[in-house]
Formats: sequence, C-alpha cells, structure tokens
Amino acid sequence: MKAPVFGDRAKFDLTHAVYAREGSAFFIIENYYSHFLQLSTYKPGAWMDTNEFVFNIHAVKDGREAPYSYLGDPGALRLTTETGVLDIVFTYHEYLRVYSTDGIGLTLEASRYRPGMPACDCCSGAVFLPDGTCEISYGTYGKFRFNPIRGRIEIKAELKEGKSGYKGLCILLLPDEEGVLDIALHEDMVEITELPDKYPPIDELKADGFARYEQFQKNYLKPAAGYEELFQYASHTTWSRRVKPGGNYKAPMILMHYEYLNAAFSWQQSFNGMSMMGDPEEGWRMICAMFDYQEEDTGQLLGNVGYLNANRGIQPPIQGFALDFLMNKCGDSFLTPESCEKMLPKFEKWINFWVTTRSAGRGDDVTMINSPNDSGWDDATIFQDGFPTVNPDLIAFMILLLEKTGLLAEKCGQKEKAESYYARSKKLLDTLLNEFWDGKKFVTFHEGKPVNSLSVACYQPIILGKRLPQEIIDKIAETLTEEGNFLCDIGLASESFYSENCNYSSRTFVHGRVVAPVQLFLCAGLNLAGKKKEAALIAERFCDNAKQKGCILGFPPRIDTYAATGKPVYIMPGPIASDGWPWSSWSACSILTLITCIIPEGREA
Amino acid sequence: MQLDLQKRPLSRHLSRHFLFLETDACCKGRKKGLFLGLSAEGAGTFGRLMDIPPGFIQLLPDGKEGPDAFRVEAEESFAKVDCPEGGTLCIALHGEKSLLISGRDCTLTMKVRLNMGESILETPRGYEVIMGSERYVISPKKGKGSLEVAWELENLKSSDPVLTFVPEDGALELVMMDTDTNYEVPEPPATAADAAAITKADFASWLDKLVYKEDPEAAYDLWIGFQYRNGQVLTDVDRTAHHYAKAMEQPFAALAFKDINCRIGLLNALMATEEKSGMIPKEIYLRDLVPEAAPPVCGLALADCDFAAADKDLLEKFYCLFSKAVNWWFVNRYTKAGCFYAYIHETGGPGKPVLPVGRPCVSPDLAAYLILDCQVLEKAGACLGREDVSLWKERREEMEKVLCGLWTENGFVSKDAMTEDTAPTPSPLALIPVILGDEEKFPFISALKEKAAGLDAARTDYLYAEMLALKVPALAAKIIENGVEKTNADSAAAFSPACAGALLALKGKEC
Repeated sequence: MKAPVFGDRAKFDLTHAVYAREGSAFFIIENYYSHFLQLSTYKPGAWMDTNEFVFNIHAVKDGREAPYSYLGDPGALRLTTETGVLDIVFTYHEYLRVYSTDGIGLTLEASRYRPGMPACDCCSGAVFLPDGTCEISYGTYGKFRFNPIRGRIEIKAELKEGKSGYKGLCILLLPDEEGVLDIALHEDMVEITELPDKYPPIDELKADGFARYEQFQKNYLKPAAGYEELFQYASHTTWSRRVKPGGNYKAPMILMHYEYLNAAFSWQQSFNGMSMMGDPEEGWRMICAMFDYQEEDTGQLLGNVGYLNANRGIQPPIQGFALDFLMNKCGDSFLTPESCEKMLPKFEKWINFWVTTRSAGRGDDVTMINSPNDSGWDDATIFQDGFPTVNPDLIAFMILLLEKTGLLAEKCGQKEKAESYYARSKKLLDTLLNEFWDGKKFVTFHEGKPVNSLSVACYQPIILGKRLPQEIIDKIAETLTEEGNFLCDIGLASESFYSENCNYSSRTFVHGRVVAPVQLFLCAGLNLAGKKKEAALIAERFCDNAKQKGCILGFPPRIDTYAATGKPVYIMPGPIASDGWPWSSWSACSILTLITCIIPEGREA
Repeated sequence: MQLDLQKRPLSRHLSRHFLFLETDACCKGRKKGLFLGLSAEGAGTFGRLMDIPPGFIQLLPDGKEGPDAFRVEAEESFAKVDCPEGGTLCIALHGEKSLLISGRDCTLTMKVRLNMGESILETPRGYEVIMGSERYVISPKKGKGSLEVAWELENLKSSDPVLTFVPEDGALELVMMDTDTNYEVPEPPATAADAAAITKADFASWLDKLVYKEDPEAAYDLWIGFQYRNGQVLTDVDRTAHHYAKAMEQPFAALAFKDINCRIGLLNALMATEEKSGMIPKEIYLRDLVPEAAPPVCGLALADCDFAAADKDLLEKFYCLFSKAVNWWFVNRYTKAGCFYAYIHETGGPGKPVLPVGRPCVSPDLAAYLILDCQVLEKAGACLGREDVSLWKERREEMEKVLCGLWTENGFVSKDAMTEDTAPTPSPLALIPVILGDEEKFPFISALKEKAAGLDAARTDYLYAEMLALKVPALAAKIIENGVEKTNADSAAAFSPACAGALLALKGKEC
C-alpha cells in the first residue's frame, strides 16, 4: 500500500512532524538545533521545550559513532548508516523494538530539546536487575526497561560533583557476537512488573503498523483528485495520534500533539468525528467520546484528557454542529435508538451546564461568557473590550446542540421532549437573527454594546447553513470570498487585512493567522448553506498550502508587512510551542474534511 | 504562643491558607509586604519572592505595601495589624476553608496575582477568583469593595486584579473562602476574633493527642503541616515552599501521637496511596504521585507500641496495606543476597551510590527497616489472629541473617545483590541498625550507639539524626537542645513538620 514517509531526505522530515503510531506512547522527532533524532513518550504530558525525559539517538558501530540518515513509515523508522541499517519498530504494546543484523548498535543519551539545559535533573538512576534487564527511572516522567532479546546493554553514567544526581547518562544497546541486536524497550509511568515470555517477530510488528493504518483510512471518504498524498499524510497524522485505552483513556481518543498539548481535547474529538464520513458510526463515537468524562453534578465536559490528568477547563459545545454535519453527509442511520437513548440525558446535561453557568440572565438560552476558552476564539478581537461577552458564534453552537438534542429525543420516542428542544432551538435562532446581525456581520456584545471587531469569528454562525436567511448567506459568502479582506493565497485569515489589529506574530492564534479549524468552520458552513463552490475555493487554497508545508495548525498569511498599517511582520524563527510549528491532528482532521468532502462537492456543484 | 510571621506562617490544620510577612532581612531584593497564599503545587514560595508569584495576594493596609508602614503581631490563632492611619486589622482562620478579616478605621487593598487561565469576577457572592474548578471567594460582609481589572487580549489573561475595601461606619468585615464550584463552606463566625477563639481551642485540644505538649512551637509546626494530599491527610515537607508530602516523613510525624490509633491512622493514610503492586510512592502531591519507592520505615512508628490497644478495624486495614507494602520489597527487590535498593533515592536520602552506578545494593539500613517492619507485622498479625504471621517471622529471620552478614570489624558494608561484591556503607546509613535496639541479639549495636552519640546532629540530615536518637539518649539530648528550627541565613525559615513530630517524640521519651 501507499503510505506516507518521513525522512531527512524525504518531502517531510521530523523537525515539525513526529514519528509515532497508534497505540504507542513513544514518539521520535528530529531536534531542530542538533539534528539528532530524539526519543520520548507523551504520557507524562510534558512540553518539548521543558521536557526532561528526552534521549538523543546515536547509531554506533564497533564502538564509534555511525552517522545515519532516517526514513520512517507506518511499520518502522529505519536508520541507515554506511555499513548497515537499524530499525526502530513501534508497536501497539507498551514497548518498541530496536533491531539490526548489521552489527549496528544504538545509544540513547539523556538530553533536552533546547541546547544548554541540564540533561539529567529528573533522572533517578539506572540499574541492572536480577532478571537481566536494565531499568532507568525518571520520577513522574516514568520508567524505561530494556530487555535484551539478543545483544547486551551497558550503562555509562556521569555523577554530579559534590552533589547527588547525574550529570550525564547513556544506555548502550550493543549487538551480540553475530552482529544481531534485538532489544525490547518497555515504558510505563509507574512500574514494569511483567515482561512477555516471548516477543512477536519483527516483520509481524511492522506489518501490524501498516495494517492498522490501512484500516484507519477506511474512516474517510476518498480525497479529491490532486490531494491523494495530502490525504495520506493527514490520515497518518490523525492515526498516529490515536491513543488506545489506558491511563485516563477509557476508549480510543485522538491527541492534539505529542510534543506539546499532548492530550485529547474536548472539541477536537468532535472535529475528528465529523471528518469520518467513511464510517459515521466511528464518527459518532468520537463526537460522544468526551461524554465519558462528563461531570455527574454539573454536566460539564472536561476541557481535555491526558494520560495522567484531566483538565477541567471548558471547550465550546460543538457536538451539535459536528453531528449536524455528519448527518448531512451520511444520513442518520448510525443513530440507533439505543445510542440516542444513551446520549440524550448526557446532551441534556451539557445544555443545562451552559444555560445555567453561562446564562446571560435574560431568562432564555442566550449565553454569556467570561473567558475566550468558552468560545474557542482565544485571542480574537471580538474580546478586545473585555468580559463578559455575549457571542453569536457560541449561540450558533447552542442552536445546533438544542436541535440535535431534540433529534435524539425524537429518535428514542420522546416526542414531547423533542418538540420542546426544537422550539428552544428555533427561538434562539430568531434571537440570533434579530439581535446579533447588523446587516453585514454577526456582532459580539460587551456590557450591552457591540464590539467593533473585524474578526472572522463574526461569520462563524454560517455553520447554521440553510437555517440562515438567504440574504445573510449571500452576504457572508461575498465577504469571505472577497480577496484581500479575509481571503488570501492560503485561505481565510482570522482577522481582516483591513484591520489595524491584525497580528500574526509567533504567539498569536486567531488574531490574524490562517488557522485550520477556522477554514473548517467557515467552509463547512458555506457548504451546508449551499455555497459549495465558494467553500471549495477557500478549502483548496488552504489545502494547497498544506500540501507543501504539512499538517501544521496555523500559518501567517504574509511575512513582510501588515496590510492595514504597513508595519513589519516578525515571525520568530525556530521551534515554538504554538500553532506555527508542530504538525497537529487538529489540522489533519480539518484537512480531511476539506479534501474528502468540501472540495469534491465544490467541484461537482 | 507568639508567632513570628517572618519565620512561620499563620495557618491551621488542614487549611491551605497561609499568611506571612516578607521583610527581605538579608537584602536579596525580595518584595516586601504581607502576603496571603494557598498551598498548592506551583503556588509561590515563602520568603523567596522577587515579585508576587501567582497564587498570592498581597495585603496593603491603608494601601501601603509595607512592611515598615505597619506593625504585625501574631499568635497561633490570629494576626493583628496596626495600620498606618491608626486603624487595626485582625486576621484569623476558621476551619479548613475560611479566613476572616475584621478591620476598624482601615481600608484594605489586595493585589491579586493570577495564574495562567485564571480570572476574577464580581458575583452576588463577592469577588471570585476562578481557578479551574476551584474558586477563591472574597466576600465583604461589612464595607464596600471595588475591583480594577482589564483583559489583556494578546496575553490571553486578565491583568492582575486590585481589590479595594473601604469600611462602612468604620467597620470592615471580610470572609475569604477556599472552595470550588459547589461553594460548600461551613458558615463562618461573625468576626475574626470569634474565629481566632475557635482556632485557639482547636489547637489546645489537638495538643492533648501528643506525647509531649510543652513545646508549642514544634506542636504548631506539626499541626499546620497536615494537608490533604491525593485525598489523604498527610504532613507536608514544610508549609513554606514545598507543598507536597514525603512518604518517608509520615512515620516520624506519627511518632508524636501517644495513641496507637492516631499513628496507625496516619500510616493507613500514607499506604492508601500505594500502587497496585504495593509500592508506596516517595512523594505525594495534591493530585499526583511520584511512583518511586520510599524506604520502608513505617515500622519505626509502631515498633514500641502495644497492639492490644489498637482499634481492630483500623489494625485490620493496616495489616492488609502494610503486608502489601513490605511484600513489594521481597518481590521486586530481592535476590538470595537479600533485599536491595535499585536506586539511590530508595534509601530516602541524597548521596552518591555506594557501589558502581547501576548495581543493585543490599544495604544494612534496608535490612534493619525490613526487620522492624516484619516484627510489626508479626505483632499486628498475632493480635488479629492471622495465619500468615509465620511468613513475616521467616522473612524477619532471613533479614537478620543478611544484616549480620554485612557486619565487619570495620563496620557495615553494602553488597552487590548479584555479584556480592562489597563496599563500606557510609554514615549515617551504616548507623541505622541501631533502631533495632536489641544488643543481645545484635552485638554490633553497642558500637553503633557509641558512634551515633558522637554524631554532629547539626550536620546530619535531621530525620536520620532523629531516627538514631530514638535509641541513643546522648544524641537525643543534643537534638533537643538545638530545637527543631532550621533557620536559614536569610529571612525565610524552612521547618519540617515531620522533624517537629520526631522532636516531640524524643522529648516525650525524655520525660
């Protein structure tokens, strides 16, 4: 099968992307500064720039460093040296395998991502155990246990002078007399109390990687012509961030990143779900995933779930929108009466959370918020006057959540309840249209006054599709396809180029950058509203850029000057824990929706 | 009891609140003033403020930063501030959740430092700091408040809020509550003075549980040291900077209690955090555990106790948990040479490895701890009529053989668990077997006692010194004379509730 590859001589290397696979906690990146490959795991939830559980990967032959090039596919990451190859094989189990028959060894050297930072401050030590294995312990970062199937292990450690602790640590994995190296490297956050009696053959593990990736691709429709390679990379990016049950994870979920924000974020599970039009049952399961963590008393869904910890922050209620989109494309046969009956009370509690704790105090379902996280529009200029705000983007989500809750009620035979939710949804829609549309855009209010913002967030209610009057749909489509307003070569900027507030420097999010989920909202909305060609136009621009740059979350629309002010743009060079650097499953799933649905439908229209 | 807020915070048992005064006495450029904090990981550190760290509130009586602008006096139940313009403030804690401020003829400004993602709102309850699922509510009961705060769009955060409270008819009454989205806080009394009276009485009644009551400072250090960690009541490393509990320290805190059930209760709380395998994590945080083993010293807290006095249910629970904890060593850290330390941190102290790096180490201190632990399990098991008591007898006897095998004419050695190569065991680990006490069975103990008596207590890790002192009266006398306070060279004093507990135990033995 065709599969994406990452290599130092391939189209995409591992400086921005990571090498990983479904079900494995390990990941490998190429260090931007040293160009060494580095190994770590996502489970501790550490960010790369401060992560203390990082190991440089060195290939060695006959006691000397052997320079290598690398190439990774769903089966293995291969290091090629002058005299032979070595494979690092990730698996669906809690171990990886290091394998070579060419006399090549591997050294894992305790390190950090940024140069000059102390390498071993969190290292509690390394020890040989009576069962022949070697273990290293890193406190709350976890443990590694090296099991030599063939070959041997050495420890080289440098102790700090005058103080306790280590200054340096290397674990050497060395081949046996026949030049064969086969080491299983186990990981765990607490203890490794059992090792397998037997390990599967290497080829079987490699084949498993390909097989699982191929199976995962079936979740999606076929991509539009010209986007086949991007489809492979986007589906691989999502697949490789799919975690299996374990720790806090009760069912498979999708991490946002490995190197930063290495958790499953609430609304991103819905973004992923709506992109799975090839298997809407799986899509629906993803949309429902966060409800496994719903708080019994408040109805709140957690903001994100990490392997160890869950974050009680809030993310927007997009489940109604995601379900609406999925149903629009796939019908509703996946909504069985049993699943509707199961999810109805959960959706009701989620609605209740918003209308009680985020009530605008008007006696209706209009919400009011005190934090941008509640709407998802982090640093958008709709919040430039401060808080609290009443947001049309959030109201649009509530309209769809109410309507879809009504649908769940209808499908499990609760007609009266269904009618009640439909009525609430309709009433809220009327309120949105009467009070929040100013003739040109939807307006956010702060303390009763409209916020004068040129954010693209003002158009997000297009997700309501044909529920909006035609003149509003036409106006939004016209605004979003006007060149130089929001639209640029690579998609829709999050703040108009006419705005003096437009800012897409390194640590901004939706203050001007072209960001994948924004394309998703607005293109999906235009598509649902019947503006399929316009939606496809925007989608193609974003995806054509992604073909060249990868599944990165956000891009500066230009890097010379800001259009409205003429001021120079400064984009910080080098890696940054922000949208502009790492590959992200959030970008990938947005891209998948665009290339498997929005673009093909636009071409057919 | 007078309290110096530069050295010890005003706090109370199980309350996260702590109030302290920073004067930058050693001229390190620290921000001076009166500060209120909530103990939590990531919260600021006491006495190390260059600026107000997140999670702190600076209190400015009459708007003055101080501390030269106002005078603060404190006892264990309250603090009194003589304000710059002649008024007064009384600050006292009520229960685990509330802090009351009563003021007369004084305005009070609060500079709040928010963590990332936190915000402040004015609500019908007062002013609420939103900290994830937590809420810190500042409620004016008398007096009028105002809030200055702005949203910093590109920093995704609020500016640091400033609250100002002015009195009403000369009176100011504020209640500050550490709560969550349930807002379930016991109704506080009317004034800070009322709260102080309750706290004073609570402390006095808590003193009755101790083996020694006549050192109120040590007792106070221990009392405020208890916090909720991972759902259990444990004692923190200290209440100034290190807001977490160390497993090794809990038995030392337990020694301060005269009732065996209080000791067992604390040990059960510790062992409730044990992993499925029985490993007790060495550090316990609010919601986190460090999954590395702590040395098995729990037996120390019960070695000299009469188990007949123990509550049977508590003892049953203890036996189950402790069996698993001790068993962990025999399953995961065992060869025919004995039980071993895999990592240096498993000894409980800092230091260099005794054997070459990476070698598992059979050590006399570990053997001694396990002997004591097995003895305790034998006694507890016998009290409960347990049939598996013979297992602990066998293991104790095995560890006794291991220990005796490590003794040489030059002192104890440690041994590689696989190769059986040896190296001298460093002090104070080499002295630890003195805790076994039985000179007839272990003739080397008299030599160890002599060495321990000559130890420089001030230059030895305090917990080890106190451990040895339990069996070495001469060393105990030195420690009692020095007291518990480890005053640093600068304005902050780091003190250890566990050390305070052990000191009380030593003083109790001396009486």
